[in-house]
Amino acid sequence: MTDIPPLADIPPLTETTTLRRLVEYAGASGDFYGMHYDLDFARSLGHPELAVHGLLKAAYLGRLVTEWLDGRGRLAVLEVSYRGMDFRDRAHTCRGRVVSAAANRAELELWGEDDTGRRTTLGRAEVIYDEEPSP
Amino acid sequence: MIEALQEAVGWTGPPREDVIERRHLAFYLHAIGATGDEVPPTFTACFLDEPPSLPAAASYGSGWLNGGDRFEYHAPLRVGDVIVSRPRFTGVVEKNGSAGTFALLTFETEFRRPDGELVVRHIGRRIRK
Repeated sequence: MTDIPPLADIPPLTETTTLRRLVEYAGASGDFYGMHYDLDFARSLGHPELAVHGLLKAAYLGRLVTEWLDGRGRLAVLEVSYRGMDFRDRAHTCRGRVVSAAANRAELELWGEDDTGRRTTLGRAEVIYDEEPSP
Repeated sequence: MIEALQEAVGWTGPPREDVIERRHLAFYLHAIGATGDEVPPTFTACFLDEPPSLPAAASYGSGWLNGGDRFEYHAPLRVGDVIVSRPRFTGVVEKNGSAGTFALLTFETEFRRPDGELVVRHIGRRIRK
């Protein structure tokens, strides 16, 4: 039996996305939309700075869950909604908690905050434990 | 023009076949700040059509934003696996927000093994404004 109580908080994960990481992510993912590395292009769209890829923020949330699971189970669903933009060189903290658990499944609430505490990224996940959690 | 986008619903992008390569995986893991060698949950994002190549999108607005992503996991992925996929434009609605009018587009991509087994289903909501 694993020991994962309902309403358990998930240890937070903070990442500061630099220009180097934006370029590395663009290269690895193939998403070369200029908003993420070309400041003139980003400003032509009305953005003050280079924006962090939404899917990079989703990757951080995916890490939050899988690093917390640490091999005790697997993700069934990861869903992310981007409610605000995040920009380079600013800390982004991913947080989450278990909101319900039944049998060997649990639903997680996830979110990402910018360095002012504003929730720019909302998400949820469904996980399946390899073993049923203890009550 | 929202009408051009509405008429384009059902569009499919080019089919593609990808291999989960160890070196590519290592680049991706490094880029997302991860360690280890397992395929992370968002790795299939590397095989999405980003930003979307939907030709009709040029008729509406001037730029893209990402509205959201949903990944549904049906089977694990490992280095060496081959996956086939094809993006499909499934819907569009026009909305009014605090920053003005925009189009919310939905794309679905199923990642399958060559024998047809579904591995990951992705639903992307993209904003055109």
